[in-house]
Amino acid sequence: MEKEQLEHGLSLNRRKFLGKLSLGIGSVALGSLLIPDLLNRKSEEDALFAALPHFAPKAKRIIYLFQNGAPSQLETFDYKPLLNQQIGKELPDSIRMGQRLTGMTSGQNSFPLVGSYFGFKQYGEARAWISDIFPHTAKIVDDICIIKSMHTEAINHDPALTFFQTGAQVGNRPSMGAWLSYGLGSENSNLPAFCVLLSRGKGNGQGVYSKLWTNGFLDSVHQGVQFSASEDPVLYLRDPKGMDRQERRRMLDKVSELNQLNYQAFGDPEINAKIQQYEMAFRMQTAVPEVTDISKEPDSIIKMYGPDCLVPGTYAANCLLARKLSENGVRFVQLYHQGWDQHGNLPNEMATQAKDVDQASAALIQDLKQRGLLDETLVIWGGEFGRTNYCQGKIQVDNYGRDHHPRAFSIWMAGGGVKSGMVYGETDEFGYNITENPVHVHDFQATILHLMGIDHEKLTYKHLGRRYRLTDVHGHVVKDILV
Amino acid sequence: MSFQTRLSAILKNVLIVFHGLTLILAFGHEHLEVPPILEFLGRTHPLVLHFPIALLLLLALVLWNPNITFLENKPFSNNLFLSTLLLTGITVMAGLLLATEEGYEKESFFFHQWTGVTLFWLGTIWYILWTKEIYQTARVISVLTIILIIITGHLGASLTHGDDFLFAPLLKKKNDPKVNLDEALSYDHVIRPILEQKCVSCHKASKQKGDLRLDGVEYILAGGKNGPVIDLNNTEESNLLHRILLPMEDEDHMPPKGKLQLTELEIQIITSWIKESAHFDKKLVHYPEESNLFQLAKNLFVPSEGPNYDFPFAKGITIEKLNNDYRVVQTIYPEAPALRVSFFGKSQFTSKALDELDKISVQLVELNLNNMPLNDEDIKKISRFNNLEKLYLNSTGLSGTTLSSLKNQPKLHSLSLSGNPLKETSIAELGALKQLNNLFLWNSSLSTQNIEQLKTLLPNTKIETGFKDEGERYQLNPPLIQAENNIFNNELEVRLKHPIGSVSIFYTLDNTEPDSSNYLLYQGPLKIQKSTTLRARAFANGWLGSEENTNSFFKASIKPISYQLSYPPHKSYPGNGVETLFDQEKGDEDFGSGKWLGFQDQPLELLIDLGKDQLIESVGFSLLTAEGSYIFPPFQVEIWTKEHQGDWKMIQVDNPEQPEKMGDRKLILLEYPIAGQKPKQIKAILKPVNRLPKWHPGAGQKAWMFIDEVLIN
Repeated sequence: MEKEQLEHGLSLNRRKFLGKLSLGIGSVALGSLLIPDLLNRKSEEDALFAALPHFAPKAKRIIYLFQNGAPSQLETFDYKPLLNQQIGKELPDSIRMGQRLTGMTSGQNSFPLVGSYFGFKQYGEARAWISDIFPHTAKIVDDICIIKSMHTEAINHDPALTFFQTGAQVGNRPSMGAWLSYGLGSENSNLPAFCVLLSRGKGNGQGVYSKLWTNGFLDSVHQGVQFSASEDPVLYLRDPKGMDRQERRRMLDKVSELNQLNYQAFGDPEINAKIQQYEMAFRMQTAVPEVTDISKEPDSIIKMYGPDCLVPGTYAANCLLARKLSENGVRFVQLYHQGWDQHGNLPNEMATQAKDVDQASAALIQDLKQRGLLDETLVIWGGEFGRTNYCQGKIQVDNYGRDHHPRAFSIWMAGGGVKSGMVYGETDEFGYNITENPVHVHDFQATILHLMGIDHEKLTYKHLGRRYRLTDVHGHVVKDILV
Repeated sequence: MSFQTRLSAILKNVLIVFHGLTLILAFGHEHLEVPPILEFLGRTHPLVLHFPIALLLLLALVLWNPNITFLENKPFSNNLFLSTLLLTGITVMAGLLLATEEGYEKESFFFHQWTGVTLFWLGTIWYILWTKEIYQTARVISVLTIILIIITGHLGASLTHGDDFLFAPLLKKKNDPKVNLDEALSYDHVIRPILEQKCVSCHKASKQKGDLRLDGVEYILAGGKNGPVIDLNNTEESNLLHRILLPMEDEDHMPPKGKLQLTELEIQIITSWIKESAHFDKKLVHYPEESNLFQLAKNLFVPSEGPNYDFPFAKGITIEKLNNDYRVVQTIYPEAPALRVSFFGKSQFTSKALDELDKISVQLVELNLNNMPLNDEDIKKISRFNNLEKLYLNSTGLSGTTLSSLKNQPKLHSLSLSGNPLKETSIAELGALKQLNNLFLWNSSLSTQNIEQLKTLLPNTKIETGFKDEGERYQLNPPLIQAENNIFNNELEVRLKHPIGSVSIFYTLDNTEPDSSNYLLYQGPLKIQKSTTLRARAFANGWLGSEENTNSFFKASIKPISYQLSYPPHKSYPGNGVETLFDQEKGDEDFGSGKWLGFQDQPLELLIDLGKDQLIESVGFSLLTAEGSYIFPPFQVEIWTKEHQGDWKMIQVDNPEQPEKMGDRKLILLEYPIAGQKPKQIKAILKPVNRLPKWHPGAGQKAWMFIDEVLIN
């Protein structure tokens, strides 16, 4: 009897338990209706991509013509006649205001002002001042927006360049192109989303390193792909001798089968990524030659860009290639042209450097425009900082140098939702300090992301326990220059 | 008398007292002077009101069911009923006292007051009927009481929390159209909603606490009995700002204690709005980016523009199916039905790929067919996409004879036709497309007259014809000089090339500038047998002659069997050590390339062993000068030789010519003949310049010396 009672008690308990449980679970289920993502909670990343772009983009693609070494603003777009009048006079302390100098001039006991060796004229609706060594840029002045009030934090090339490209002066943060590849992906899945083209002028040069187009902590598919000037624009893309395309296809199919087996066994998404990458490389084998072939460009293109565009590895050739890549859906084409570091011998070297880039830069704008592509392609031209208004070393009217100057420098942007025929920002009479509308590097980056339809505060990646952004915790969109 | 009966008697008496007080308060409260203690009692209204509500509902429930046991204990039930009525009375009286405080909206207060008082009366009637056991009527009255409880409670809640408090969550979604950031106004879309939610319930036409209304721009500017609430001359002193920023404990804090408070964000938004000049009709996007108001408020809105489309969304699965590696279908921006389609890879293109777009023919607004091989019939396929706005047909091989079929696409505003061999008949076809804003016709085989004709046909269209070769003569680029290496043993083949096939290349081999007097016309690969400087220029019809290209080739026919440096090169430019000097790899102007050795503090002292006594013609040093980079030729060169059976003899001392001003980077060769010597060993000492000359920016500092190769012949 005791046993029966016990069993009864137990079964009652079980019944009760199950009964109550169903009620309890029911109530939890009811409550969970208020938490829509309870059971299929999206990862942070999924949520990010579902919302990208954050709003209608103005620009779909970017071509960044980086003038590596830092061209002097005083011989390009920031006309300061006072410096010509006061040549040889001392830079007033009230202007310098204790500015930190590089080791190259901090020891100088005199800071003699020096004006531009080149003349300036006004062009376009905005009556923008442009130096005489940029005659072709002067012709497209109504299509570009010159920003004379850029400023940065770094005073040496590598940190300044890294700052521009990655939003931080040191470290291995992802480059702007990698961020865009991560955020928006590739438009054309047969080409990388982020391509890099290098060229070098005769002027005093500074290195560029692959860390500038790094994916940083992002997935390696977002790394910039460097196109070389050799017969193989993309290294290791060509099939080895004796292998034809069918054979390659068969090999890839087999490799893919093996990878699939592996994927089924381990479920590692990196394996899938690998399969995708093999397939993309296979498609690139036809896409790259199609894009890099310039033999069908009409003669007028060669006159526009200059005959150097037929010589692989020159700035002009890279500009032409940049247009072709961009036209084919490459999200971010990054050019670097080295040789702008004029600590000495400035008049000579700047003239040569300008000759290298002027015609092709202007041609690129015109070329995009005449194809109806300029309004959706953002083109940027500029260096990593500016140059001092005083002379480095001994001063001569026709031979002087300028040291690094982070407080004010000029760049230009065109197309892709940026106002055209505009000059933005102003510097003082000495070209030393910004007096109007300063644009910090982070503001510049925020603006670029904005044009691409991205809120720079929302494009983040969690790494080592914190979320990272291209603009770190700074940056304001420069709305005044938006269309 | 039992305790219950006695209690009952007391309670009944108190009830009568309460009714009397209620009458006085209800009819005369406007004339009352309320002492602080009563003010306190008044404020207990929100606290005690819950008791009569709960108890009356409970009584109704119980009394409707006469079987419930506790009714058997009638005295207890009686007293419970009485207590309930007393609590009702207290609530009503407290409410009437509270009403003497300022600021309640008269209209809704009126109803709340009288429903409350009536409730008290009805409850009492119910009680009387119940004690007389007239149950039928009692039930009717109880129903009325319950209904009145609900009405009174609701009116009371509206009074505290504002009208529509109860139904707002249900109504809100319908009346809240999404505002675009681009359209948002600082007052209408940011400030007004806050005021409406948190302030207007006490500051509106029907209830003007402090004689202030906040339900319209003119009222806000007019201010209240304490003067203006926003002081445009001294925004920070504005009363509105002052009051919301006061601590909660302060009497003047707004909204008053007990009312729904402003959130931290709302306080910040109002603060920054007022501090930033309290604009009433300024667009949010016209505030500067760094404005606090803009930063705080921008997230309240749908981020930025995006045109509105009134057609339905395509199915996700349809879009997914249409997407492949060569055809990309994307939304223009998230949450828009409009689609953009781009084609890539001309070798993969067939016009069937266009047919498949039928399923999204409504949603397709941008179509990019650049570089795809099209024929003119394909245009008819495109003409079915009725909402098309932008169409890219650059370099597609079209002749333009079917373009007028695009005329029924009213939204098409941009058409790119650059790089197509358009026929003259296409002018009439294009002329039918009056809806175009932009037409791109660069390099499209049309004559200037054709374009002019088209401009008259399309007066409202901007026609872009782009770059035209107007015979302006541009300078050619210099020819390329190609050779396997710059250093050779016996003979070297050198080729000259130019990317433009039709140019003529002229060159010299004697280090003179190539001009009409001395040049040689390049006709095929050159064979070079001695150290030579080659200079070349390119010429062609219609172009200006190129600048010259120069390259030097060095002969190094003897390779020593061993060599060593007495001092290592500078640690910043170590190259590959001494090997660099004999690796036959010429460095270029990039001295950091690793092909150069740099010396600064110590001289280059090189010991060469030829293995046996040999007849030597010359020793050469390939160096770099770059004044801008502090790189100079050596200040002094010494060459010593030693035969197998002999002593060291100095056979050369030279002080190479030094630059006198800044110049371009140059590769130079210092070559020294060694006549009549048959040394086994050679020692070379090259001393860098110790003090840079006065004209140099680094005057007085040490110069660098860079060397990449030593040539022995």
